[in-house]
Amino acid sequence: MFQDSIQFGVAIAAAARDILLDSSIYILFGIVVAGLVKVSLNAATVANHLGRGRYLSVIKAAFFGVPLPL
Amino acid sequence: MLPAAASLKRQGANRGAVSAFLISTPESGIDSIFITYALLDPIMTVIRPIAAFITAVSTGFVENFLHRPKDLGPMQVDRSCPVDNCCDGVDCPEEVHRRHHGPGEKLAAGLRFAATDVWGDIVGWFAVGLLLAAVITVLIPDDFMARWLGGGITSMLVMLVIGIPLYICASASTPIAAALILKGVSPGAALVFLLAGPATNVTSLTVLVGMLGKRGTVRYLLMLSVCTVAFGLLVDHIYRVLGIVPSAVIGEAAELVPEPLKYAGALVLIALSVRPLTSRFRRKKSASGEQVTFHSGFPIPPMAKGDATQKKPGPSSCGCGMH
Repeated sequence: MFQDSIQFGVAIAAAARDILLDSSIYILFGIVVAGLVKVSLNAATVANHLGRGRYLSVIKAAFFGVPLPL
Repeated sequence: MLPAAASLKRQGANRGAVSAFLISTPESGIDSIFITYALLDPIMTVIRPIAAFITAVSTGFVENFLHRPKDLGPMQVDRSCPVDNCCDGVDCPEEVHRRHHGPGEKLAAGLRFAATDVWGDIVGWFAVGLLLAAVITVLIPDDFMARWLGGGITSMLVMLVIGIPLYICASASTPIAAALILKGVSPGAALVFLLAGPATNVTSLTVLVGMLGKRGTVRYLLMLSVCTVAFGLLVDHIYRVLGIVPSAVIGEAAELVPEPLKYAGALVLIALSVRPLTSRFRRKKSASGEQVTFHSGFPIPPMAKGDATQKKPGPSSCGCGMH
């Protein structure tokens, strides 16, 4: 029983390590680019670009939202 | 995401634009696009932001089609400096405002944002996502889920019911989706989880009612569900037509990375995670029982009324000279 739970824990840790190894380089690239986007395009200043259009403002809001993190 | 959308609304954006922003921002981001490429495959990497965009646009269109936005006059735009909030841009000429900071300063600020704000916001959720993905990988036998969630409208609806109340960010949901696909969940059903998970959750619904009204929130959820399920079915169709076996291509991008680089990347990432994780833990411990507050790196717009935190005037040395 005790041995089983140890084995289970080790297996989960190994699986988590594999996923982390597979993704960490890409995550690093991703957060660096996201940081650079944040410096040039503040989420709060998106309103700057929206305008008053009934439909165009929606397209612009959706468009700016795609790259913005969170 | 919610504070940013609330500030958009305060600045005079119409309800359709706010709904669109509320969908596309959490459903897709630069960071999650990279993670999707690493852990899933190129098809999902491309489809995910497209689905987020189209879902957002359709929801916003329906909102503005049913409710012609009132003409509220010119927007009260927040032009605060995105680098360090040194200038609120109100009385600052466009030319000067753009040149507060040089490229080197911007690059440094961007890297700082990446390590603190961007990763700091994600890391807690990502740790949870990683652990859940690992548990799924170990506990569930291969192809076990293929019988119930292997495709078709039922699997999409099941994932929708799981995803809507769940709070998980786009990056953190990716390892879970990868683990699910490897256990036989169809890529379309996984996409429904990837889209519906980050877009809404139980707590954000109350904020939505405040911003869009009750009917607006129902329309929002309805449009979100319809578009998400449609994209789920479409993705399954794409894989079928192309004859791709999803579990065979998932995570192939990671094999391109040489082993030492993988370890180096993981070490850097773990080093970056220590501070945000420990500070979050400490904050939780000291502030347990306090009211939930949204943390965000966004500056408080000058027209935010009734806020206790009044914006401090920026330092006069930021180069604007017009304060």
